[in-house]
Amino acid sequence: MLQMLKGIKAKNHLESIKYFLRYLLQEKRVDAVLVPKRHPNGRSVSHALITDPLNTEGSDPLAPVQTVNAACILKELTKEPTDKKIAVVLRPCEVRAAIELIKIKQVSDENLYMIGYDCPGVYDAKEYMNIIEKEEDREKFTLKYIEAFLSDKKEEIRESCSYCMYFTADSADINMAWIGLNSSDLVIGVNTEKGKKLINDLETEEISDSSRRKEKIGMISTGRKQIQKDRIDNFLDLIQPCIRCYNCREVCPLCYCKECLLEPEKMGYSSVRYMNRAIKKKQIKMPDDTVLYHLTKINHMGYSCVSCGICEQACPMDIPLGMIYNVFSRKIQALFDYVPGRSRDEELPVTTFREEELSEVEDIQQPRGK
Amino acid sequence: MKNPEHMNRIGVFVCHCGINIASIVDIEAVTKEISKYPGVEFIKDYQYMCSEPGQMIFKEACRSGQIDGIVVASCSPTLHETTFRRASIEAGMNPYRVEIANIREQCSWVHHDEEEKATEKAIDIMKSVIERSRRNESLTEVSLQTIKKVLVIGAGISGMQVALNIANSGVETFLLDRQPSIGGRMAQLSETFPTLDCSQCILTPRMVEVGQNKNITLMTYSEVEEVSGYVGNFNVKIRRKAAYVDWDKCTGCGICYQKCPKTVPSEFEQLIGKRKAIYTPFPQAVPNKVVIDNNNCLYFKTGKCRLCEKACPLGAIDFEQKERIEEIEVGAIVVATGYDLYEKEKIEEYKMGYCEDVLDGLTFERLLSSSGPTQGKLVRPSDGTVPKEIVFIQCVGSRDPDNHLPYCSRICCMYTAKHTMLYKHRVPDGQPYVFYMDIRSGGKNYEEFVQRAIEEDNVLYIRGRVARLYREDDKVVVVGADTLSGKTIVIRADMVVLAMAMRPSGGIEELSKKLKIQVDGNGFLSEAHPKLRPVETLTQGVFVAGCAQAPKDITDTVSQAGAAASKVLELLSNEKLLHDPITSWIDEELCAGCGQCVSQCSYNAIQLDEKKRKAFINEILCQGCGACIVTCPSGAAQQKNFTIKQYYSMIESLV
Repeated sequence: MLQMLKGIKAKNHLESIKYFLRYLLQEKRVDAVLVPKRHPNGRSVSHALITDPLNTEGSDPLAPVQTVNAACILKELTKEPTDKKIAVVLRPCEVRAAIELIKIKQVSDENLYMIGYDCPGVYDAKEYMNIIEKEEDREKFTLKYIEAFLSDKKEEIRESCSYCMYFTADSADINMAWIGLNSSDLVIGVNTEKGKKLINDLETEEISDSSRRKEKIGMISTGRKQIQKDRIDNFLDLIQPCIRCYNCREVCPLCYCKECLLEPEKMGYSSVRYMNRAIKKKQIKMPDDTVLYHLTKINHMGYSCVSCGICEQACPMDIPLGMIYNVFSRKIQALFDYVPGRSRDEELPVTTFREEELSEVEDIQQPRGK
Repeated sequence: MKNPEHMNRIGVFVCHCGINIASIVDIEAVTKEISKYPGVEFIKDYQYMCSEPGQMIFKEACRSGQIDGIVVASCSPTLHETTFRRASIEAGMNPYRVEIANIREQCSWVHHDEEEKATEKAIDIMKSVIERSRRNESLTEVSLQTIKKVLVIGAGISGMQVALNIANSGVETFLLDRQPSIGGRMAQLSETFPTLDCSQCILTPRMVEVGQNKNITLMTYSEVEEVSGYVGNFNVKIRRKAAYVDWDKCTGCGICYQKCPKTVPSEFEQLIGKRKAIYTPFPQAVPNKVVIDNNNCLYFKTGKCRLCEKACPLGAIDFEQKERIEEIEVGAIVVATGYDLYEKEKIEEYKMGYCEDVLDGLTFERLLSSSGPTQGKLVRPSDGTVPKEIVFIQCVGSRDPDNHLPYCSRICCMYTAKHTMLYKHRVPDGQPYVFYMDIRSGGKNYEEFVQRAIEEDNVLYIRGRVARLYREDDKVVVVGADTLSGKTIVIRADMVVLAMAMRPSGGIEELSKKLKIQVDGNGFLSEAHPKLRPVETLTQGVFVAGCAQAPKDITDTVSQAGAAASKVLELLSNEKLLHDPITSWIDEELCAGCGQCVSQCSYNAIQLDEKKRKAFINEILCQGCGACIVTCPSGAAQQKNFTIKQYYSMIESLV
């Protein structure tokens, strides 16, 4: 059930978020907030861990750029559980990645308050930087972008955002909502007990009619579903340019190993091996094992992949990794009826066993089985 | 370049296995190729490596000091790995430095028509095992203490026999049953085939023997709540149900149940006899203690009565009694939970005929039993008249994979023959009919027994199945086919006895999960090997006996109980158990503490240290199954002598 925060009236969405963050710090509801901030002369935004309420000025979580998946920062921040309360403003894909990381104990959510919001999508980071350089008022640019999204005027967004099906942050502790709502007040959904604690003494009013919101969300989803690809026919061609720089691994919020299994060192390869292989196979591609690398990454992360697309943005060779991982992981997740980041209570498919699962696979192996 | 972690002096033996390998794989080509492979110190081939002379060559090589690893290219490691590892111990070499390359089952046998390719494949298989062997470590077995106590679950004839055999060898035994008394199904039977011994007469002395045995602790009216630990060291939590009677005081005098005003159908009498709300299941119960059935007791239902309390001269009644959890530590567990009958309500085509005079076999036993509700007088439960025409239907629910159970319940042919004879002895002018599919009477004196029924007691055996039953007046009409004559047979019967299929007793699935043992497709407990390990389960230290494993008669049950007892004693006769050292371990440097391996371990061998954020493996609990290894994305979980580097190098040598 959505509700209006009656105390917060601001001239635009960005202002209301800032107001809310300031309120949280002033009232000592939390000890710090983590939010993307503009920099006077920088070309992009970067996350700031803010403890002084005054420093919330310049926060711009809605700027249409995702430099990192903020769940990566949460790994750093909460690897060891802290006793300081931190509120973080996250895009839906970041909320979902964080929940996956909580399940595998790489993020501790004990003192973490996740504030999500309806995400209008982002530009590719480099594109954003090129545009923003020419813009006088960067805050205005952000607001214009959101306005365009909310009034269905199509803005150019990053490809992986264009088919994103999870653009509302329903599994965050609090999600800020604006799609299909004409309200100057800040409208939020409170999804957890923790979320309740954050707003406990603020005056609220329930929004009785959210049918237009539902309709609008449905419309966007239908449109996006059509863009989604269902299969990849030229996987090998697509990853051919891979130079095995491991950028996609470094930026992936869900890659959490201390040392990647796929480092040649880990495999115990000696230099002689390459020559031996080349003799045996007549020729080998160098750097080698790029196919193995990507398949293993999909195998390891497929059930948790939230399709944030940050890997695609990080790829120096413009391999459409976001699309590739999206197609593969959706299939894996469908097998287990699993949606990563949907709920903290949903256990990872590999850690649970249900008798009825994967029966379709069994059927292939045992055609006569009952 | 020599890497100190590698074994680089490997001896290779190639076995011809007579012509099994040598007629397909070109041994000469193999030895020539492998002798050139890096690290191979020498290579020898022999006709039968597993033979005495073959092993002599093997041992000589071990003793030579020339080599630090051995690869035997022969049959499957499940056959002779142990043979060669033992030989290496005798020759003073660590057994875990011996590896088998399977070039028979995985090569010559499956490629018998493509010799060249088979030779090539044999070479590849051997190279990959040489690669693995290079990085093998010397390992020593983990030893663990055993607790010399045993828990037997189920106190029917099977569990009793196991407990007696073990206890008589001086080992302390706990005998558990969820019923108030031991005795199980056999206590319900009237006579037994093929001798027509009275069941009670042969069973009750055993029950008394169990009750008096100093090494047996009875835990009746109890259920297994939780099992933890491992072979030699199980910890079992047992729920002792509330009997509402202080058993230390109760002498089973029976005054209480004489006074009890509430009468209910008796489960022991298959509901055709009665018992009170405070009761012992039957007069010869061991222990002879009463329990209050709180679902029927007037005091529990209405808050008034307590007549038993007033009547009890010993003050044993305790309405405040609560169930309690008792913990015991044992080294081995035997599951002997027995059977139930398939529900006759599931047989749709007979339902029209169901009435009090259509009975299952066990109920008929109670009707025949001299201690049963009719004192052995054979009369119809409906009107007390003597049935003159009686139909026995075999295989009801059994051998019917499409609608019911696929298996043969194995005892019904025999007990039906027994039923017909007992009937004839009581009603000499009556006519018994038996509908059967085939007569399965394999067993000592069994066939003779069935022939006696047919020839001496004039039982009419009709080969065919009964299509339906329905009622007409006070008769049950049985419509069946005689497949030998091709005619439809209609019998207006006074009584019908259904030989219901046997199925594992209720609750076996939950119990099997607690014990981490497996059940088969029909719900019976799985043995470790159908021929060679018939009373062991795949979980070390847990054994099976009796009908919990498969349908069987008393003779077989008692034999199997003896077998289970001897396996238990074999296990516990060792001061210490040796545990295979091929276990997993966690590389702390790599472990990110995600905990996924913890949920994967079926043996509870992995724990997550929340503070250190690392997983740890208890090598005593670890069975080396490898589930944690495939779960760990970081490669932090690894198995001894099967490390990531080892299998990568194995793959490398193959592709």
